Amino acid sequence: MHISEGVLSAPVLIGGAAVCAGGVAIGLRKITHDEIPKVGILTAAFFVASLIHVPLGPSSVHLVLNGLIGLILGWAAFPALLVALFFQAVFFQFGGLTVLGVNTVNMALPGVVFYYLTWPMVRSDNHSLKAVAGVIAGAGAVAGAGVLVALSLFLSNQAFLGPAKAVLIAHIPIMIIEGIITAIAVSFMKKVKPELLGISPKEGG
Amino acid sequence: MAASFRKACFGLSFLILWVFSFPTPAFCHRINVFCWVEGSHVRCQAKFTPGGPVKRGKIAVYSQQTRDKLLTVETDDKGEASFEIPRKAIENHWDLKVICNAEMGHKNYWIVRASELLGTESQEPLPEQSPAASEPLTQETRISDRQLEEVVSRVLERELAPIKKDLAELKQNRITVQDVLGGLGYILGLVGIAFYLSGKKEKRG
Repeated sequence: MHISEGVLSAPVLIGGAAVCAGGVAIGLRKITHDEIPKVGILTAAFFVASLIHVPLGPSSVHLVLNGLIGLILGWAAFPALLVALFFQAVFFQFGGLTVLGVNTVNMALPGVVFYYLTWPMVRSDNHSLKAVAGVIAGAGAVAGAGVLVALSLFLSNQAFLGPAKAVLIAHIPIMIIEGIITAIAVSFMKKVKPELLGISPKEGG
Repeated sequence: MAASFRKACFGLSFLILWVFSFPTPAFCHRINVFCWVEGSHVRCQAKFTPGGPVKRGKIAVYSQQTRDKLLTVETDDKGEASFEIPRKAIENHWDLKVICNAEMGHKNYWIVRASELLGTESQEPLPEQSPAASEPLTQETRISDRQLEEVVSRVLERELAPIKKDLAELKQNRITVQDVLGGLGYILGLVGIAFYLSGKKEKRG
């Protein structure tokens, strides 16, 4: 998911950085005083999630969590993922500093899109609908990130269909896992702490 | 009912098996490539971090000084590739830049220093000793210095190859607990700064 340094062309890098700056500006404006710890904790969660590897069959997968973060933070996912990706680039050499903007957009944008798409379902009182919203957001955000990675490569004069297919096929397992995890997390939060999802406790029941 | 459930389970397990049998572990963030010199060849190994070998990854070898592309090879199923040291590189004392390009924007490189190449390639003829100066030897034990050197260097190369490989592997950046804790600490610090700024703003407001 992290695109390395020296792969993308300059216009893509600059465009990614510009979109990222816009997203971060909107996100920062939306964070209220009380939401700061929530954003911080999810930033830390994203920073560490990519280190937790689940051995599955001959390979291993790791969590991305961009769907869950998008669902909880909305636009604030942009600043959260920017910070997390920055530290991943500095400490782990995942991605890189010039690709930071593109990588942030690739992961945060699908999260924000699925936040808006699944919002009515998350707010509903129907338990199975909430779980379905979690599955859609969790799996969809990973798939969306995959498509955006392929698109970034395509815009840098590389083939689109081949890499896009490879990215999507390779991420099917993690899409399934993220879908399940996000669904469980959404159901749990709605029961225990609905404010995390931006729902007042009374509404959440 | 039970039959259809069994069928569904079978289908699901088949799907999961199929998914995990794909050769490319794309869930990683970084690829590592490292090379070591073995006789007249350079051997390379490319790995996803973590996840396993880069199968059929494209490796391009450039001259670090002139940026000329010297050759390309592909890794095998173990993520290994080997190529003969280009004559030009030895003659011109070029460092070799070995770039490995895997799918989905993963790219990394390794530099093979010219000194490493020259060390194994010193093929200058040794001064022949005059037969009179050496002890008279029987036909079976008579070995020229040149042959002796070749035999010794071949044995040494064989013995040292795993050590060279380990050394090359050790030179790579590894993720340590300090890195993880450091990153988390920075995030915590940023949360503190955000709190401070937002508190100041609220006071003013």
